[in-house]
Amino acid sequence: MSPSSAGQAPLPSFLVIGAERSATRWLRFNLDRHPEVFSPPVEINWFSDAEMMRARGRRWYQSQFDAWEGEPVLGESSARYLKLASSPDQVAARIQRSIPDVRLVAILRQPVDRLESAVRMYVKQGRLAADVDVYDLICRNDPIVAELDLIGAGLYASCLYPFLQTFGEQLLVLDHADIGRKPHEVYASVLRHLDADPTFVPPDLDRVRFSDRPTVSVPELDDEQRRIVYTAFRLDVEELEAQIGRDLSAWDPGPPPFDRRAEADAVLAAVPFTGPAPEPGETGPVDDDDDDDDVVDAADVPPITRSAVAP
Amino acid sequence: MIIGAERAATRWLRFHLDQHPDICAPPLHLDYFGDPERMATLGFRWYRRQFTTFKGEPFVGEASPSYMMWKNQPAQVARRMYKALPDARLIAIVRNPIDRFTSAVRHHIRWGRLPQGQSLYSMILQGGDAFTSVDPIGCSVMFSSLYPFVDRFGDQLQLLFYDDLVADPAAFYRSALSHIGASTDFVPDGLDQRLFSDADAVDIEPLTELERQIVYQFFGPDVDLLSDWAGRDLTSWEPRSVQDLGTPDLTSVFLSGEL
Repeated sequence: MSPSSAGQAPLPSFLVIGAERSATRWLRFNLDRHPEVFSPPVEINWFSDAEMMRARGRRWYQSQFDAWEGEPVLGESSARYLKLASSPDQVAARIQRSIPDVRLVAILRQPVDRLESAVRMYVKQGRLAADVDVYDLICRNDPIVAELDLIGAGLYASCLYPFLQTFGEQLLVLDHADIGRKPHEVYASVLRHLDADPTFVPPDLDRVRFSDRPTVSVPELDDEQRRIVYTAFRLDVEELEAQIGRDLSAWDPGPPPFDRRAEADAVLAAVPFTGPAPEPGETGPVDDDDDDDDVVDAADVPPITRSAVAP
Repeated sequence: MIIGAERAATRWLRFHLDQHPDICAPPLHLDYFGDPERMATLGFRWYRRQFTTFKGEPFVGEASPSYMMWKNQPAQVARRMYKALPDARLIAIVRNPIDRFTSAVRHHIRWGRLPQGQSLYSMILQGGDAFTSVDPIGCSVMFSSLYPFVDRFGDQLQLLFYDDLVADPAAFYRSALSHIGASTDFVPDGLDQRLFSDADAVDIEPLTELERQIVYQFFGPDVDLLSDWAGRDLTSWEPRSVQDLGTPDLTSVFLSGEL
């Protein structure tokens, strides 16, 4: 069937939303090889870019699928949808307004590995120097850390939360480590989620990975640095375990060394707010109420009614 | 508003309350009212704007165990909170202070804030800046941290017991729902699963029976007040008495590090 005879493609039936540097390209590439699936080869990063949405309009977005030939399953992969810097709550809301029935897929990767892979990517793109000391950048909370969303893009629980709230079972969450261990199983689970024939297996499924490792060499974090940097993600991973009901203790490199706790504190200081930032000029009143009506005598504590005390 | 105590299933409760269709309780970790600097630099409008996933649910809340921490001066926290949210319904969960203390130490070891490989008791005796700054002892003095909130909020504060959660998670969850005012017929999945536990991740030498008995004397008076006030028998929290300790002045013992 030629594109013209198929007519304009409908809106996507699935989106791969991230995470960045978590084999989303591997997934998109192999999904597109499936006879029932069409997925264009570029990251459109549409719902994460309100300005582009306004400027180009939905027709432009749909024109990205012009090569569609009537495949029943149609979708795109844009790793920015899940990035903290894209405000995932807004991304999820925009997707829901356009395509409320869409199926979503997220791949999550050990966050320090993801960070190091992102650093390699940015070195390759020239946005970080080849001899970059990323540990030092984080400990100093260098502005580039926030600019490239190096930590934020790995705060998966915060970034996934609005998608889970909005889409529930429509969202399939995968562990990147499983792609290395059992790519065929992972691939089939995605096909089932997208209602495509799960028995199809593209050749070389377990070979092509799109890794930058062979082409870019960047100094890697040592074991202690990994433990210290993981402090940025620890709370979020705990939340994530509850959210997706999965044990992710394999991600934990262990406690940071006690004698380097100042560095762990510095890492925590570099963790971005996951909510909206303060607006210009928005500050609270200074808490200067120092009247002593706070002093409470134990005898003055009012009795609490039985109903307010648990059984 | 779930105000504490730290390591007493506050996140478990918030997570499951958030599953309720009428409740919005996102994982925000705002720690707002406990931090006057944050309040001054960010402001209450900022605080309110953090609930971005709010979709019109009749009940909105958050959990920040720092609100009930002794080191954050609960009287001040309660005052600030009451000023901003006088009608809020509060929930505090209390737990056997020694179990809570042990869990907190494990937690802080996992975060690298306390050293690995030391016994709990030697940590207490040694004290030190790192120990004081995470304050696992102070956070176990729960009634004293709680009553400023009672003074402000009265019956709007509900006291829950961790023991009841362990015994019957569904009943515990229902009682929280009824205090909030949400319908109690909703039961989320996985209520009986343990969440946010460090128990398997950190190996630590527990207190011996004698050590438990000694340490408990520090918490005993606070537990007695709690027991009287709540009208609940808490003798099950008392460790077995293995030795007659007399009546030492424990405050000075802890402060001087002699034992």
